[in-house]
Amino acid sequence: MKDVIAIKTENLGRTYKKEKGVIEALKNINIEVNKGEIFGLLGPNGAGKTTLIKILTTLLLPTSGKAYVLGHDVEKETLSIREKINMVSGGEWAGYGILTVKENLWMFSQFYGIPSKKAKRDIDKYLEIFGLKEDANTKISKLSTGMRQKMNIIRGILSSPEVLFLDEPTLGLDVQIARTVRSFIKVWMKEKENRTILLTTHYLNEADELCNRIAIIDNGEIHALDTPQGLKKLLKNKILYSIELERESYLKLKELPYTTKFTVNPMKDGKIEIKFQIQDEGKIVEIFNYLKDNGFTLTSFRKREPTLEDVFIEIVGKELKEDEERVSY
Amino acid sequence: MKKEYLIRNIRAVFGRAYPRVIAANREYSWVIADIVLPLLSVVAYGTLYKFLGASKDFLGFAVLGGAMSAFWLNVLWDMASQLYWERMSGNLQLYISSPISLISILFGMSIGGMFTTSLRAAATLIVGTLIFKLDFSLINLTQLILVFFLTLSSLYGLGMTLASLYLIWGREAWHLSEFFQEPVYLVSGMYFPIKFLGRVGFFSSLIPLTIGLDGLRQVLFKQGATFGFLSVNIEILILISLTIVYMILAVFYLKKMEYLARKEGKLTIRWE
Amino acid sequence: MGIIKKFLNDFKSSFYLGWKIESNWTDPFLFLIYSLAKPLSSAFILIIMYIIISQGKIQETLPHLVIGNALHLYTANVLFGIAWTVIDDREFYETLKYVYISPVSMFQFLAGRGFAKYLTTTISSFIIIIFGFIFLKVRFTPVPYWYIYLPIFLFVGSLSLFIIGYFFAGINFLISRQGWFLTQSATGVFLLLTGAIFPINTFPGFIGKIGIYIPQTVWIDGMRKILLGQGWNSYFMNMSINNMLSLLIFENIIYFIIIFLFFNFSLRIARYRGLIDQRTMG
Repeated sequence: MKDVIAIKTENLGRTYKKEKGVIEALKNINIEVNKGEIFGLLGPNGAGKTTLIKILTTLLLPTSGKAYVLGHDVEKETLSIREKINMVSGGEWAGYGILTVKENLWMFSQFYGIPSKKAKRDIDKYLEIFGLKEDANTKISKLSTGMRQKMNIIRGILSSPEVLFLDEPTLGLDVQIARTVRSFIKVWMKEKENRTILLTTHYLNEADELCNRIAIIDNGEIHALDTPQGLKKLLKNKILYSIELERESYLKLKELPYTTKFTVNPMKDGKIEIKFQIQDEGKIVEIFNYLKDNGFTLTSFRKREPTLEDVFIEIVGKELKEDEERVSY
Repeated sequence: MKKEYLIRNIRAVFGRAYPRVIAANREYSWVIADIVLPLLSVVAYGTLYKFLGASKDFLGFAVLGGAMSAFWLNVLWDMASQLYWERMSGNLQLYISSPISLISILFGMSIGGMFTTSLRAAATLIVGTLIFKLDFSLINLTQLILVFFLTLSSLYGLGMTLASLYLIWGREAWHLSEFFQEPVYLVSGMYFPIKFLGRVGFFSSLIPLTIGLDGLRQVLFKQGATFGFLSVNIEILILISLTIVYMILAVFYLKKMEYLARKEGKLTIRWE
Repeated sequence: MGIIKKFLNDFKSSFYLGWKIESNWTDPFLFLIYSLAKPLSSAFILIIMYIIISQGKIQETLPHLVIGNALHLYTANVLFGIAWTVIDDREFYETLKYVYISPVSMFQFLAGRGFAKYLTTTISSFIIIIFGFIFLKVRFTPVPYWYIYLPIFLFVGSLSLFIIGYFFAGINFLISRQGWFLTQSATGVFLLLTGAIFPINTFPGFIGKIGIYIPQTVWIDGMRKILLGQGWNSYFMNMSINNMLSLLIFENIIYFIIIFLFFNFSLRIARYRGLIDQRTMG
């Protein structure tokens, strides 16, 4: 295998037996992640992201196909892989509540054979970076979600892994902490050559900001794989618009003629943003007339560039949001 | 490479033993769990013997059994089902994905557990002795030391073997720990000499506690030998064999069970 | 009527949940084995100890031991089961907070969960009695009208289990998961003080008298009186069954008032201190 490849899968599949039938969590996944890149896996809940990570981190066996991490087979060469990887999951509650932050981190460092002195030095360094220095001697059962996740990330990087698996690392974190985590990821990658991250997320802006390449996964299949710019170029021939309506008038809206891939976003100021595609740019005037004739209060409109969200909807056919399952049409 | 792997696993043993040892100094609930609880059972059974008119040695058997029950509980709840709890809390997947053997994790747990449980068992023994005013007759110190440490090593070997089974069995495993608790008290003769169970004693000898308790009674009490199941020297040989067998089984089953758990995807399921 | 209907509904739902938690981890056969092995083993330990010392001669104390042991199972399982529900649902399933904010009363919820334990324990207790009858030749010499006294005494005594269970449930709302030790200790204390396996006057002085004020002591000895013609605690020797029943009801009422107040107080404090959804496990 080429030395530049950190992760490779060949027709990777995973099925689960349920009471009635079988669930195919992954179907014929073929990806190659290069050393030195941050590779994103974008998909809704149940898409197969976590299943893929579990296979690559040797927690789960595939039911078909092959997977390799740093040239080692995930099925047979588990020790060789485990020496060089680490993983951090979002919403992780691992650890021992009776131990302090420092003690927990030290304990996990021992599983990677890090000499105690070095481990303690590194722990102090990272606690400082993440603003946890004052909580070093706090029992982890007393930590808030954000502090806990920072600690988890320190745990993940303490062993200086060649490949780091981040499974929704900013899940449930507030904006400030999420931003801190993302900034750190970028800095950490630059510290050493050939560090690789496989990141799963369903935050589009996070994927856009961090990832060199993104694979869009849904129903266990990869639907697209490219750089963020490359993915957006898929929609280069699409005409995309965004309009804003007053919330009250939106409630009357039953359809918007001549449009496709219609999505709705509530805005902070109480207005509703509607994004859509149209096939024929000439129809935009008719759309405005329709809105005016039906008494809708249009507060803004603009033509816009495609976003990852548009790409996702185009490819998968639905929004990524957890709280809505609105199918586009 | 092998040396590095060995050192890493040794570090892991100490790393994992650490929470066990530290917990004793931070959470004092163990005083109730590991001294008061066994003591209550000891007092109950001892008082029953007293009510029935049994000799003092029988009271001693009950106190010793109660003290040793701390080890059985430690093996059942803090060893065998520990991986189940680790899975529930999310630690298990971190252990598995670390470049160490699960044996090191379990070994670390047992070292931490053995140390703290020994202190607790001693406390139960001392308090029970004071309450019932027991008389000990130390017959042979060498045999006492051998029986005690071999009982612990084989018990914890059994614990490691059970841990691998619990990896697969999940929530059933927690119930199994409950299941094994009292029946083992019964068939291992925790509160009475196993001799009275006849042939059952041969089967229950597979539980190190049975032979260990019998041996300890024989070297600590005047009437111990009268009610002994086998001679102490034979019991020492049995304990040595059990230690070796359970250690081998532990290594074998842990590897096998980890593979099966990875195949069936049970390493990270929480509530099953 | 609406209140009764709601009570029954809530009770039914929580009983169903309790039953599923107790039983759905394995197939029915294994579940039966598991439900029987634990309590029967505890009972056999006592019986074997008895047989060893009495050298096989069955004296009049064995029937008392068998009945006491069978009934103590309820104390151990139901009391612990109700108290443990708080910890189990709070720490492992993390559902307690959702039950708390629902219209279901916590009181009814715990009663339903405890009842599931009660039913499984009934099977075990019954087996112990049957085993004693068939293999140990335990013979019952019930009093006249035992068929009226028995269900009433059983019912009233069972109520005391739930009442005391609420006390420990209330405590568990306020402390960490380590609190299960307290409940376990309590069942151990009850074993000592309720005359389940030896008369309470085996203990000297005031310790022996504490048991009189515990409903389980009255219950167990009352059941002995009904089934065997007499109990084995000297304090109740000259008491009629009716008087024992009155004493049991009286103690239940006193305990209920105190514990009901304590339970609600605990809930209020737990809510005030944000402990309803505390996680002390990790």
